[in-house]
Amino acid sequence: MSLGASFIYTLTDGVRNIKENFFTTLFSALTVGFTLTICSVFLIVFINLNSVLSKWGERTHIIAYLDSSTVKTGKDVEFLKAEVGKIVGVMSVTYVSKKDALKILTASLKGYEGLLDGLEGNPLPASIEVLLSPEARTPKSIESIAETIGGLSGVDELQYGTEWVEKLSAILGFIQLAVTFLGLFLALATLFIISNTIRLTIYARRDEVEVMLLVGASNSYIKLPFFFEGLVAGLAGGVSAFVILSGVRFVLVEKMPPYLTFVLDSPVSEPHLLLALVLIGALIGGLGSLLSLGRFLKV
Amino acid sequence: MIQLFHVSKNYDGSVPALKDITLRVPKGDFVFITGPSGAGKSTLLKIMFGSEYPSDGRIIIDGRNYMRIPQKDIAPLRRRMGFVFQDFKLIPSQSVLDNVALALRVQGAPPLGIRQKALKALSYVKLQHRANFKPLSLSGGEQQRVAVARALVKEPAILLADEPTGNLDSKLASEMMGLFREVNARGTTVVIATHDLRLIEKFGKRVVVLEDGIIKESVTIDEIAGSSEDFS
Repeated sequence: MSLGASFIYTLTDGVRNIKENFFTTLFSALTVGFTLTICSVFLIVFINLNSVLSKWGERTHIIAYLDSSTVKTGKDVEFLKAEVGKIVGVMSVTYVSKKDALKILTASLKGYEGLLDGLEGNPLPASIEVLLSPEARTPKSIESIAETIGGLSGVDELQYGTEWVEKLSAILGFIQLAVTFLGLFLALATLFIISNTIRLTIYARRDEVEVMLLVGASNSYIKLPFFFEGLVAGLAGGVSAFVILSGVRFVLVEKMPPYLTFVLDSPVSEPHLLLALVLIGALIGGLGSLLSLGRFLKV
Repeated sequence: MIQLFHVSKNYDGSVPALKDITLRVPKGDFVFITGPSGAGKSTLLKIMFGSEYPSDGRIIIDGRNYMRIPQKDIAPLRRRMGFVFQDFKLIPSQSVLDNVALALRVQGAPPLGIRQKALKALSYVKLQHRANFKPLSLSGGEQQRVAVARALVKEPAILLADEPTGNLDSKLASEMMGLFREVNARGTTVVIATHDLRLIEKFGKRVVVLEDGIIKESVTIDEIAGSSEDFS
């Protein structure tokens, strides 16, 4: 069969079949749409939570309070910053002067500034805030870095917490494990639902496939229109997933407290999200049809 | 040429459908297969068509051993054959015209001209006015004629028909048989399974009589006309 004839027959048969099996195609498209929506919501929430947790991790820091009798000049501060900066695992070093420390405290007491009224002078010490690189954010590494900083001249006292780091890594580990299992389960359920929907669709038309085989249709002649139908249903499913997802986000964002809405922010731009959903839908629909057809191609 | 050598067919849990059938249908022949219901006529045709495989024996069509043909080569072979199924085997969701055109489309015929050819085949069976109807809205006899049109439209090398006049009145049945004779005259090998002795008397040249899965006799029309048996 020439390529041109094959293309025309695939297209005309596919379009006619979609018209004749409109509700079945619609059902397949919606199944793909809803399952893709569930997967997408899950993935978006996961990506956003993971990103937030990683940001929290970035805040793992050590505060070194400075001895004002030793660190007196800007030169002393610069020297100390340079020394701390040389330690392996240190990402950044920021100096917080006595003045800055008071400003920060005042800002954090917004509305209750009166509490500071009785103070004479500024009792807060100057400090340097040390942020750690991701690989150094383990309790053992923090202890070691803190020990080195504590040994430097001019450092009076240290403040850091390994307990919080341990808790955060435990939470991150648990979430990643739970998400992996849940994601796997969801992906399997999605594949199962979609492949069964397509299989049922084709099963309902097994007599048609049988007749085609009996009149001498080749496997590709039978498969291509089904592939086309699956592709169209998948494309429509991808578009409907985008629409449902936008609707779900719109409704939920309205009801959620503002500080939680970030979990539903799309990690990619809207057109990219639409493109991704449509491509995944088409892939699932097209390949699902081809794979489900196999068992009916023997008469 | 269709050749069957010692062909037997057993279905699980039932009596053998065919037993040790040896039969030769030369190219261009016109053969009736007859016998009472359950004699094995349909099974024999399905084996010739390749939709059933014999449990034993060999079947050779145009010099090729059917048993050794890979699955992918079955389709090209079927495109050279026309088969009128007893249960019509029409696609209910497609129009009568599309059902007939399907036989040409699977052959890879160019899209232009298929409609005309299909309409012409429908006119042979006097159904051109039903071209846009769905098969299930037609009577049994009309569906049977659509099946005949689909088998004839591709001008097959071999035409196999299983009770092709079973749902037709005697006038239409005669007209269908006339069509088969015309096709045969143009070189197509025709094998028809029927239990209608009147048709055989009127149109038959060679008759194979099956009974309980074995060939009882292979006779000419003159011999069967003298027989007192009636399979109808």
